Amino acid sequence: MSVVGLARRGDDEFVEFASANSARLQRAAYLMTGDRHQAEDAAQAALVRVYAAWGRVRRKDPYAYARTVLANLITDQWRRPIREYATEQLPERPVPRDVADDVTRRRWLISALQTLSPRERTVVVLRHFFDITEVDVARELNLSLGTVKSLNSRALAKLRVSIPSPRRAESAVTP
Amino acid sequence: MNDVEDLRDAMHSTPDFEPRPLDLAVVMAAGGRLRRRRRLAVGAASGFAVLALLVGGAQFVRSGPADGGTPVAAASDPVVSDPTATAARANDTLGDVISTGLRDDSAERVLYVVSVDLPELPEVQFGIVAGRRLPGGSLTNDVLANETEGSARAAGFHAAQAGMNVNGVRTLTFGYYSGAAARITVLADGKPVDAHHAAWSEDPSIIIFWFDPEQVTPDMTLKSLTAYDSNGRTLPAGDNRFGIG
Repeated sequence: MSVVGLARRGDDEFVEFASANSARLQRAAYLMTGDRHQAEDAAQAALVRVYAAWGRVRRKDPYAYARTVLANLITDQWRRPIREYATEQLPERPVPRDVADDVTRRRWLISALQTLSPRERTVVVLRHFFDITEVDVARELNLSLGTVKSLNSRALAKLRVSIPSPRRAESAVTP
Repeated sequence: MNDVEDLRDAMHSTPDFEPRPLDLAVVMAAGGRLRRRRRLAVGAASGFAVLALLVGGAQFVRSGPADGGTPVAAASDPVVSDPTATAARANDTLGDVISTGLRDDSAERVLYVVSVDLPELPEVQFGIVAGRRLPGGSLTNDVLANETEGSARAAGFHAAQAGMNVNGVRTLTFGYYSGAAARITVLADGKPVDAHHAAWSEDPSIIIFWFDPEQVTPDMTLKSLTAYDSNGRTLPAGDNRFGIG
């Protein structure tokens, strides 16, 4: 039986939403966990919660809700006793930029991402993968703006990513 | 150094990870269960609050044991609800508890209406609970179904819920119709089955219906839930799809 066939009114919209966004949520979860199975589980768990709250969030910003739920689910997982620990040990540097191979560079950056602390990684994914402002990151993670700025700056330094100019970095921030 | 665009590019094209399609039927079934658990938790909390008030005022009246219950109604015959179920007051019910006459071991299957107060559903003030009346007279709250889209009183079907197993208890297939429904039918695996039904004591335009669990089982495909007036004319369907799982 098809999903749509089972759906009550309003469910069609959820199916459309989930179909359009599940890949992106999985990719974000992969960036935050570094594990494909955990990524699928986390994305699915986030969508379950979105569906449970669909009547409330569907007219607002369900994508933002899904993003927040996903980040918090994964952060909660990291809060459990069995957890991974950040390391200062970065993978070996990629080849110099002038001969850089794109795939090698991407792979290095994703590996380097996994060396960040969980909070740093979550901030980087929300800020630079979902491309939301630091103000929104702070709100969604219930952190202060200063903490988010600090985590982002430290993470980018570890990733050896040059810090964008203030104008470029903050252009999307609402005063 | 890398720049932010390199990082963004890497994150959007992870070489070692490709997302897979998720099973949305599983997602929606689990989400539906989560939603019901949350509502039941809200209902239980308000029930406890009412119970505390009643006990505090020394006015709590315990109902007598269910004494055989109301006989099973003939299909399409309204069932008289039970006005003596005073224990139901402690469970935050609205109006009389409806005896189905069906029994599950030592408990009687009942339906009753509870208040629903959710900010995201401003036009929904009530939901229907399928539960059981235990020998001591207390009520269980096995499944709560309510409208999730628009007004709870718009003409037509609302909150139709297919039977399922909840903590080992097989629940009824039930729901309600807003309007002058005199007969309600469904096609269960292609076979027409008449529902039992009863008007809500607080508002007779709300017709609560349920199906005999021997005739409509959880594994059946349910289609064409239809209401008719007293002259046999088909009434507006509203949302006549069943919630499942």
